Amino acid sequence: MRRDWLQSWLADIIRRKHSAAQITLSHHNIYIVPSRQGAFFLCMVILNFILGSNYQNNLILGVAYVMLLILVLALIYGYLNLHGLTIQLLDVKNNFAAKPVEVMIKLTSPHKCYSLDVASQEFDFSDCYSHYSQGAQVMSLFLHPGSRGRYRLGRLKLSSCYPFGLVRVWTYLNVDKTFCVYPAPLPCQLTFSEQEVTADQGQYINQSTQSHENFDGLERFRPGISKSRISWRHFAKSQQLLVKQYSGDSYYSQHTFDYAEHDGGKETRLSKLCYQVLEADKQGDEFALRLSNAVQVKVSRGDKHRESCLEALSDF
Amino acid sequence: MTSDKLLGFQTLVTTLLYGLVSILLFNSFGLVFTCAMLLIVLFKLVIYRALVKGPSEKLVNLLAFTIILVVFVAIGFTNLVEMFVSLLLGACALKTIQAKTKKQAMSVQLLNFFVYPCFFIFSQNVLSLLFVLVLLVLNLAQMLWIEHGIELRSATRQAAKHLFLALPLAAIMVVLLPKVSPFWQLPGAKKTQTGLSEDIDPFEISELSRSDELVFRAILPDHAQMNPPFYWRTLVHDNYDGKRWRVSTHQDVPLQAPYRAVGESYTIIARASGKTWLYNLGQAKSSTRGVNTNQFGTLFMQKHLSSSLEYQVTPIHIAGPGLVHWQYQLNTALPDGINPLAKAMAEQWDSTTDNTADFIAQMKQYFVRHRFHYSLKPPTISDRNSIDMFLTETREGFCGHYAASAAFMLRAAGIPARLVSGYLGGEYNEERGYYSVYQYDAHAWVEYYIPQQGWYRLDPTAWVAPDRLSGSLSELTALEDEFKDNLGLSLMSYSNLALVNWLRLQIEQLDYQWTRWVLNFDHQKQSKLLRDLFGSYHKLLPALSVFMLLIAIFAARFWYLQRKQVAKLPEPVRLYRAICQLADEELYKVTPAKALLILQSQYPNLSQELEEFNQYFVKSRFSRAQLTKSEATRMKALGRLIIKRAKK
Repeated sequence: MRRDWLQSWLADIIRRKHSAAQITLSHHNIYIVPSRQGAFFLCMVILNFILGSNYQNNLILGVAYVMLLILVLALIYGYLNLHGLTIQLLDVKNNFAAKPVEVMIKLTSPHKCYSLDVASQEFDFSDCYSHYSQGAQVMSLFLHPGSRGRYRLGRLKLSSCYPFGLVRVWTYLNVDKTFCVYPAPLPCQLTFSEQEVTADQGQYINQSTQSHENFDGLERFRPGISKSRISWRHFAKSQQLLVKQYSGDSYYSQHTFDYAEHDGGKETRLSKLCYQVLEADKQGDEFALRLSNAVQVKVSRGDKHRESCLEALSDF
Repeated sequence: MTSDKLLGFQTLVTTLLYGLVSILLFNSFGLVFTCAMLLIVLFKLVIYRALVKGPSEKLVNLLAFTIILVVFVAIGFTNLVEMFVSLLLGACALKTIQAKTKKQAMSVQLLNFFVYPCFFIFSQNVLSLLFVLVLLVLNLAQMLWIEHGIELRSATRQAAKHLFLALPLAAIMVVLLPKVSPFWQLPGAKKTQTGLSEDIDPFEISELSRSDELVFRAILPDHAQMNPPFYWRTLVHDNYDGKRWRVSTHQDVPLQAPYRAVGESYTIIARASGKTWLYNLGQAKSSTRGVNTNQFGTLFMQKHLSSSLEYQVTPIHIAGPGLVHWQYQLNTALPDGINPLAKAMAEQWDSTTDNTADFIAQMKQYFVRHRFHYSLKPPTISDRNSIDMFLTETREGFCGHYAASAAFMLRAAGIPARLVSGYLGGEYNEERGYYSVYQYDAHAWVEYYIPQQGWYRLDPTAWVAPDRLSGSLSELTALEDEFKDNLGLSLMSYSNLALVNWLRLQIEQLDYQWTRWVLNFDHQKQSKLLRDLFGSYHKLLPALSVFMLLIAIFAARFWYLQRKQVAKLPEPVRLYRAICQLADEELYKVTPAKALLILQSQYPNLSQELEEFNQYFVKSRFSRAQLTKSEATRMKALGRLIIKRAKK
């Protein structure tokens, strides 16, 4: 009972202190204690002290004192190792289920920073452990949150056991940010609601926009155009972002992907919808998403639209 | 290198260090254990080279069992400390073979902080200190290496920095922090090499094994009437069985008889010997704890002398009731039927003289007339009548021969006599005024008893080699070659070279200071020093001052390191910020050009300077070309000028 109270109190304090998109580490947000190895080291100090004073051997006694001082120095150096470090959460990249979610963190350090270990306290993660030299760097932490859904990023813990592994220095980064785990795409036919097509415009049904016969020319990239249509070859040559235009582009096919059209369980249906969204986006088609009467995404296209569709799939 | 291979290399370094430690402690551990350790090192090396596969759990257990067996058999329970340390060393070495993970490797490194200081139990000189410090630096470096993957060379540098920062502070702590008196009796390390032995049979020895190892140092007060020769009495042998002179059974029995002090005290700093006996001139007692006097007036300790000891000696005179009947019996006892010639000679001299002094004069005459010869390499005599052989045939020997023969003849004439072994002389250090006595100064002489007067010293060796009495054996020129032959390779054997001798004396002196002020810095010396330093506050203040000092030093260090981090802004930026401070409004978030305008409007008389400064600033920060040296100085001057004028 009391333990719970203590823990919630601590969690509250940490939330209050460490909730920011960016924090610079200093004495009021760095925590430091001797590690388990440090405790073992302290036992060795005591053993040496006993040995030294019983043998009246000043040299052994001196070693005991040296070790004690090294432990104190380790606390100082451990603190200074993280001191002045600025941590900023840049982005959390949504990803499909069973694939890692990349958390990008920018570290700006005024000095070399040894053995920084970044961990998430809410999710499984891949070890992220490295030295950072002076200056700004971007590091990635990969989370494995599991099934589809929208998650709160929660608390990140940055820790280091420099120097000698005798101390544990850590801090938290509590960012109020959410990320989505999209359903894993499940290949299926790129069906669409025929009714709507015939009723509205009556356009091309199966169109291969990738075919080069229809290639029309290049135009400048504008935000909102699908990145899959950027001509990377030109970018590599001239550093210019150009978008391939196809002759058929004037008639985009328009789809409506409907939850009710698919069969199978909920997750299977969502996975299939996910596949369809991705395929349609790849082809540059316009599409709408209809999950239920309440949840619908209007007809549109482009990166932003795709993202909002995928997020809707995650949230559903 | 893969991490597995790297870990293998890291643990290999540790194993090699264990091998080195056990070689250096060869004298304490003996041949068998050292060989076992070297085999483990070899095994580890072979595993590292991937010539064989790493051992299974079963094999490691088997090896551990073997090591325990080796330790029990080769070192045994009689040498508890050696056994304990060697078990520790063996276990750690096996652990390095077994270690597969980072955690296991780290636990070995942490345990080393206990293993390495154990070296000091066996050896405490300056070199050992350096050796252990190097081991500790390497150990810390290995921890950085294993834990953080920092490359060994830079890790060593970091570790050395940490250690040498802590070292002077630790020294201050040793000096000032109150010492805890020993609360457990721990067994000490035993040492066997000594110039003295409890049983003396000189005739079986063909070559006196001598070493230039220090036995003790003595600081005699200048004004006291103490003149050479110095006979340092150590052991009394009064039990003769026809072959050996055995040490008295009363050697370790404390004195019961009354005594009175007869002179000024002096100090002796004895080296660890692993024995219970100590050294003193004449009859003495000591005020130092744990040092006792026996009925012969020599000093001894209750426990073995396992580390260096400094003790005070006061000369005394024991006022005993004289020789009681059993003592007289013991000190004149001779087995029947041996050395008939010597016996006959003694009886003949006894009948022609009427006091002990004349008897001794007769004996001396015999030795002088027959040209006895002092030698460190006499022929062995295995005959039952060894003294007869020596007196009539070989006539060549060292102190033991002469002392044993003289004591025999004294006893044959009915005069109580006993053999005393100890040290003679000592090398005087003029700068510091102390005597050093080495193992090669070991000597044996005779004591005889005159009723109503007491025991007197008689050194028959002096009849043959009178030079031997003054100074140390090392200064005896006649025997120089023989002496150096026996010493083997050491600095002492080259002491006729001026430079070598100077070096030897310097090392000697360093060792003296080291022993005096570091090793023997005990409770007594500490309280004296603290009283001198802190006066009447000596109980609380030293400990307090240590903590204050530590806090102050760590705070200073901390501040310094933090300051260094902040002070890394480039010069132009610092100047720019200082100038921006002059403005009434906040210029933090505006561009330099806008800041310039605001400043110019505020300080119209400085507008030109500000403009020029801004040009330099923009060039230094935002263009690729760097400022030339003259431009940089111009900018600095401008910045200062602006600040100075603006403040007027």
